[in-house]
Amino acid sequence: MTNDIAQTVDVLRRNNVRVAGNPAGRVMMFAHGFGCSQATWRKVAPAFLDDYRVVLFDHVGAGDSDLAAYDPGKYDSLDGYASDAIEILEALGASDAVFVGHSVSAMIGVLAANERADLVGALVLVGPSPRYVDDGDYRGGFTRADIDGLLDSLDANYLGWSSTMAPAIMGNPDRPELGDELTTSFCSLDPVIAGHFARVTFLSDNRRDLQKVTVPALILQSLDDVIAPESVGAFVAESIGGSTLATLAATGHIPILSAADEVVHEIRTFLS
Amino acid sequence: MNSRPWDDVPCGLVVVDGNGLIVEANAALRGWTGFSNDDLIGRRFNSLLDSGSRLLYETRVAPILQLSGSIEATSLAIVAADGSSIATLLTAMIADDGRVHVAIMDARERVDYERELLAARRAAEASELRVRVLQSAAGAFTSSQSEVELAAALAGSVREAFAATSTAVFLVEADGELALAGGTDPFAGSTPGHRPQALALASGGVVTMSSVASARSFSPDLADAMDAARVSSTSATPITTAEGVVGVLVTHFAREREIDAVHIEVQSALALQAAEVLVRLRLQRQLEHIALHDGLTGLANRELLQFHLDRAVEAAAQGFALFFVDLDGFKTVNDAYGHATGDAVLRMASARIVGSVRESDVVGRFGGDEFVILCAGVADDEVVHVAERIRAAVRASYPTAPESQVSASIGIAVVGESRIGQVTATEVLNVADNAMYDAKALGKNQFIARNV
Repeated sequence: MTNDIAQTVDVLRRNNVRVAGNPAGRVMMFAHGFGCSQATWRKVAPAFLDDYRVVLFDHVGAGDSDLAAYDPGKYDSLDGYASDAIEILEALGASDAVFVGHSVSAMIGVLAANERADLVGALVLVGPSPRYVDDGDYRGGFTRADIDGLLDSLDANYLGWSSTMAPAIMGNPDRPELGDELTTSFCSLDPVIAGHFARVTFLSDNRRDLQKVTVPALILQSLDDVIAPESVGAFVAESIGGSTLATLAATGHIPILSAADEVVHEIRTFLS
Repeated sequence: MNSRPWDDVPCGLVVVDGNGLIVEANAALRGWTGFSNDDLIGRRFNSLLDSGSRLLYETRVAPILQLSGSIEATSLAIVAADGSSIATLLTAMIADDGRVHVAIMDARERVDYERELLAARRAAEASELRVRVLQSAAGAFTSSQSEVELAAALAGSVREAFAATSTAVFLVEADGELALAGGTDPFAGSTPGHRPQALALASGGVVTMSSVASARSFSPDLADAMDAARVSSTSATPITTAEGVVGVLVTHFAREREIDAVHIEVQSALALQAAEVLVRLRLQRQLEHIALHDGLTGLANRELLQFHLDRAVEAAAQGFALFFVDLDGFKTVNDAYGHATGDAVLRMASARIVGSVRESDVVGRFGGDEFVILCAGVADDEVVHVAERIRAAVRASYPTAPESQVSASIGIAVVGESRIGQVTATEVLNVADNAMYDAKALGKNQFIARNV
C-alpha cells in the first residue's frame, strides 16, 4: 500500500499532473502536442471545470515534467507516452475518461484507448495525423527531408539560445513583456529531448492502430492546417469505425488557442 | 503607393490578420524575397517559410505567440520567389486589434556560421556518444561476475546506445536452444522459429528488419510475430566465440528505425566485447571447478569437502552425518589388473556411492580409495539405511575386474542438532575415520556409527 502511494506520487510528479474541476464528474484528460506544454489548454480546459474532473499534464521532457525520468528507449515510440497516460489515469483511480489529445497526442490517446478501453472511454482528436511522411498513395504532407529541416530549425534556435550570443539574438532583454516568464517555463523543452520527441512524433507510423479503436471518437479538423491537412483528417475518420468528423471554421494547427470556443462547442456536442 | 517610413527600415515588416493571412508587407521584404505586393497580400504567412521552419512555426512558435503575445528572434527560413532559402530571425507581437506584427531580420551570415557550428557539434556528439557507450559498456562487462550479470550489462548498454524500446540477450543452452539471459523479449508469446533470435542463430549472421512490411517479404510469420509484439524494427547479432555462436543479441524498436551500417557495426562491436568477457567467465568457472574437484572421479576434492564440513559444524540448521568409506580389496585390483582398471573401478565405485545418496548430499574423494559423504539432517535410523545402500552398491561386481572382490568399510560420525557449534571438523573426521578402522578390523564390509 505504501508502495502504491509512493508510485502514485512519482507518476503525478513525473508528468506535472494537475487535477481541477468537479471531483464527482467524469474524468477529462487533456494531452498537449509537440512543441509546447499543458499551457496550450489554457483556453479550452476551463470550460469543462463545472462538469468534469479535469486532468492536465506535461509529457516527460516538456513543461515542468521531471526531465530525469526521460528514458530515451521508452520514449522512442509513442507507446512510451501512452503508457504514461495510462499510469496517470490509474494513479487517479479514473475510469471511462474522455481523452482530449492535440496533434501528436491524438495518436497517443489512440494507443492508450487501444491498450485500456476501460480507462479511456472516449477520444477527442484535435488535428490528428497517424503518419506525417508520405508513403506510397498515402499523403501525410511531408517528406523525410522536411522532417530533417525541422530538426535543423530546432537545433538552430537552441544553438542561438544556449550560446554566448544569446543576448544579441534575444534582442530586448531590458524589456521583458508580461507573460514571457510564464511562457518560457510553460513551453520549455530540453534541446536534446525536443529533437528526439520531434523525430518520434514526425517519423512514427500509427496508421494500423486506428483500425483497432473501439471507443467513440471525435475528430476535430481545422481548415488550412499544414501539419494535419484535411485529407489526413478524413483518413483518420475513415479508419476509425463509427467515428465523428467535425470540420471547424477555424484555420491553422492550433484551434485550441485560436478558436477555443468552437473547439469547446464541438466537444460538448459530441459528449451530450 | 507613396513611400512610408516603414518601407525604409532595414528589416522586413509584415502585418498578419487573425486568420494567418498577410495584410501588409513592406518594401524591404518585397526586395529580399522578389515577391510583389499582389503575391504577398492575402497569402498565408506560414506559406512563406520553408517546410522545416513551417513545422517549427506551427508546433512551437505559434503556440508561444498565442500564449505570451510575442516571440523574439526565432531562427526561421523564408523561401524567396526564385526558390532560394533566406535565413532570418523573426520577432513578432500580437497588437491590440488581434493582428500580428512581424519583423524579419536577414540573418544569412549569422545562420551560416551557426550551421557550421551545429554540424561540428552534431559530429562531435555522435562520435562522443559512441565512444562513451563503448567505454561504459567495457566497464560494465569486465566488472560482471556471472553470465547473468554480463547479459544484463550487455542488454542495458545496447538499449542505451540505440535508444531501443527493449533489448534481449540470449545464450545457447547445453541442449542447443536459446534461453533469455538478460533484457526482455517481446517475442516470448510467438512461435519460437519465427523470432529474430532464432533466425540469427540459424543463419549465424546478422538479421535486420527495418519494418513489418520488409519483414513480410522475408517471412509472413516473422511479420505477424512483430505485429503481435508491437515491434516495428529489429536487429539480431550473433554472439560468437572460438566455439561458434554462443548467443544472440537482439534490439527491438516500437517505431520504424533505419538500421544502417553504423548501427550494425556498433551492435556487433558490443556483442564481440561481451563475447570476450563471456569466454573469460566460462574459463574462470572451469578453473574453479578443476581446483575444487577430483580429476579422476569428478567428485568434490579435499578442499571442497573441508569447506562444506566447516560450514556444517559451525552453522548447520539440523544435525548431520559424516560417512568415511574405505574400499576393501582395492589394492588387489590394482595388482591383478593394473592401474587403468583400478581407475575404472574407482570411477564406478564413485558413481555407485553418488547413486546411493541424495542429490543434495556432498560426496568427495578424500584420497586413494577413501571417500567422504556429508549428509545433512539425517536421523539415526536413516544413517543405517544410507550405510546399507552404500555397502550393497560398492559390493556389487565390477565388469572390468570380474575376479575381484571389492567391498566398503564405513565409519559414521553422527552429529546431533544440539552439538552444532560445539564440535570441530577435525573431531568429526577423526570419529568417522576411527570408526572406519574399527569396522575394517572387525572383518571389513561393514559399518560402525558413533555419536560425536
